[in-house]
Amino acid sequence: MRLRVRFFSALRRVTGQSELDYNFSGRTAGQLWDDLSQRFPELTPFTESRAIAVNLKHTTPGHVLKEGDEVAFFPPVSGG
Amino acid sequence: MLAELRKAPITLEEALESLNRNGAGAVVTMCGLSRPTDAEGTPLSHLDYEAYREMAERQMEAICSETRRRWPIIDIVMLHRVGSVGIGEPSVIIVVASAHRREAFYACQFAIDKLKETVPIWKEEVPLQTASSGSAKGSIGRPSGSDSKNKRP
Repeated sequence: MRLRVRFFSALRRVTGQSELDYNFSGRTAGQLWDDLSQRFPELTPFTESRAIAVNLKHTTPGHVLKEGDEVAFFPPVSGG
Repeated sequence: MLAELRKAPITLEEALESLNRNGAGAVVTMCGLSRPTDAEGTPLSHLDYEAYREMAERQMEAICSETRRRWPIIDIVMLHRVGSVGIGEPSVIIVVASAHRREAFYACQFAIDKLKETVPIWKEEVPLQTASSGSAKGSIGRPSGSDSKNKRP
């Protein structure tokens, strides 16, 4: 399936990418993270702390993705 | 009700102007300012705020709506900066109007706590000595233990 992947803050800096059109053959957001960590090993240290959002909503690694989803990965928020 | 993410400066005066105060007996204001030093006392040049804009704006609106559902307030306004914020400038402003003070205090506390916990915005502290070279030192939100300066304030 085709996905739009977005990285923010430190994840954007370590990957050098803010967004990608990504062809994904897995099923869940967690599997997508693992896939991306193979491509960008710099992501690995963030595995425990990163958050996931699908189509602008917070979600969990078990979220089942579908064609055209926008999947964002980012570190803990620090606004305010 | 107003929730806005903005690159231009925000002021308490404009937030209060946007707030519906008809019938209000209390207005509580929360104004978050950029501190001049980081957690270890290193002088800062400014803070850089990055946001996942589409999601952040949606969540700010959702927090304001939830706040209105939880407490009998009259109105709430929530403003947040993105981009470069100078030392001493407001980075976030929340104002709440209600008939009595207690619900305005509770509502304002809830709204700022929820914003800081959930809205996808990140601040980066730019030290004074490296600001001219263009490299920021402390991004909040790196993996824990990677850099002692990157702790959340």
